[in-house]
Amino acid sequence: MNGATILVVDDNNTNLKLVSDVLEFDGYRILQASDAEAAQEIIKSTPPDLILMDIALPGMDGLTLTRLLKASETTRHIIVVALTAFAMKGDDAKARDAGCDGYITKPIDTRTLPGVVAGYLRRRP
Amino acid sequence: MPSRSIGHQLRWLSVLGSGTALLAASLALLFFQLHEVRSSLLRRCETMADLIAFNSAAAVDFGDTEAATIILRSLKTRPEVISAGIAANGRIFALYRREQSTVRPLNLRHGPSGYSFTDQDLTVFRPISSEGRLLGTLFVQSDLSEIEETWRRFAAVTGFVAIPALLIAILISQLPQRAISRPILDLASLAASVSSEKDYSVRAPTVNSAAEIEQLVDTFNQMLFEIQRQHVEIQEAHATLEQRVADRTSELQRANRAKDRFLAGMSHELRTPLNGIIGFAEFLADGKPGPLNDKQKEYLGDILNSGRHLLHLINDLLDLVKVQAGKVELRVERFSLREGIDEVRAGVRTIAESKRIEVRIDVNPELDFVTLDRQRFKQILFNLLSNALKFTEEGGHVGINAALHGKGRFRLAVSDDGIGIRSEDIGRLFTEFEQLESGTARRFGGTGLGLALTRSLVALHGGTIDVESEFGSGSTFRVTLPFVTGEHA
Repeated sequence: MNGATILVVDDNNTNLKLVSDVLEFDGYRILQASDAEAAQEIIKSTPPDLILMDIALPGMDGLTLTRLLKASETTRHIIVVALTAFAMKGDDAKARDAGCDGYITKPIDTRTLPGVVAGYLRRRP
Repeated sequence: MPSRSIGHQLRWLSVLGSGTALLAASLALLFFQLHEVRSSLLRRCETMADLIAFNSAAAVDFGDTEAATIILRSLKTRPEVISAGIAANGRIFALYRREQSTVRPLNLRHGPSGYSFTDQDLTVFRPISSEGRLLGTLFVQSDLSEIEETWRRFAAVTGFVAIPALLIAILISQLPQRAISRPILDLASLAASVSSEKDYSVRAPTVNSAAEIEQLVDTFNQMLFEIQRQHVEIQEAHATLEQRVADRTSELQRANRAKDRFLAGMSHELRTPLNGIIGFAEFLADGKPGPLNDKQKEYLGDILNSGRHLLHLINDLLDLVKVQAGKVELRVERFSLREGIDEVRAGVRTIAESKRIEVRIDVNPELDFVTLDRQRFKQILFNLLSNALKFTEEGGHVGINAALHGKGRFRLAVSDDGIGIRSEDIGRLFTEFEQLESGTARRFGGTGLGLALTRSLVALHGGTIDVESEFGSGSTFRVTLPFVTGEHA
């Protein structure tokens, strides 16, 4: 599955870089956005296979963006995996309700992240 | 004996008083009258007897019975006289008898003058004498109709005058008695209604009665006024106090919420850069970006250990805050107790093996499935188990024992043969940041939050935790939990 395009959306630059570098090392093509608006632009020009979406974003939040993507015919197929903060009660349920295909709890485990992402991509219809 | 009302008592007192007075007066009058009637009867009979004795002396002296009888017959004009007779020389010399009367045989005798009352008659005796010679004895017997008449009159007066007078006296006695008992009864019912309705604004109406009653009513009203004043004061004080408590409570709740928000926010903010540190260190340590020499690997390991310890501390802190703020919801599920315990042991295998500590598990075969929050259960056991490993020296022993404990409960015991706990330290064991001896924490690591968090999680499941320890020879932490959380036996 390596070679798939992954968009990482996170307002924390360190986290954005960590997730990107770990996945890039495993051979994925990485796109980066630090807010929902920038992400929309990228999706329009280069539609990714999977989006790792931080929920807490400045401006439009990650769940709102997910709802927009899942409502549109052209972007519905993109797999959206939410990045939720550890032990933030109810975030997983909120992510599912917004249409996310799954969620990964922060902190990111660099050793398991590539495998988890590969799993979501394999499930793609 | 039930107490009787004032009205009742006053009525009887009044009846008794007037009745006694009336009776005493009537009896006095009766005795006075009887005495009068009796004296007058006696005087009349004696006068008659004296007269006849004097008049008949000559007839008796001459033995003229006929003349004596005529003289005796003059008594016909006196209706009360039943009979009269003269005895001389041991026989009846002359006799008079009222018509329709039977004369009792008289014990005739000579002797001095005298009289005798029986309950039926009065008999007056008079000697008949002439010039110092005793000729015979005269008797005049009179009935007691006059006395009987007096009795009848008395009965009539009693019946027609005294009893109605007594009744009238009773009726009249009601008036002042009402004036006394009515206000007291009113006051009593007012007091009862004040006591039940708690309405202290009512007042007893002033009354026209005895001075004592008026004073009682006044005093009662003053007392009501005083109670009302104090009642208002107490209510005001109470309201002020309630307001203060409410203010203080909401202030505290605001402060508490602010503290919770701050801690939750802070933990999140602390974790974000920490995730970066741990993540990059891990990535580097795995050698993915490039090969590392041994020193670099060692230092990266130190960075990772410190970072993970810090993360653990922050997670425990956030957890504790949430549990204590009641913000943790248990996600109960059915799982095998044995499996849960094995999973936790697997999690500490590295530490146990590095210290060559044997971890023995003994689960009662009757214990199989439990319905608890699996993650929280594992957290509880993990905390106890890592504590036990932490405080046990190399080559020591740690045991996990699960057994039935009472109805619907089981007991999980984690024992070690480590350093143990001083008895004076056991009390503050479950308190936040109370790691025993400042040196211990540095020597064994740990957050100082673990047992406080464990206790909170156990309580959340409706369980209890306690510890038994002997300093120097080991400790046993015992957790009692229900098989099914929410169904406390």
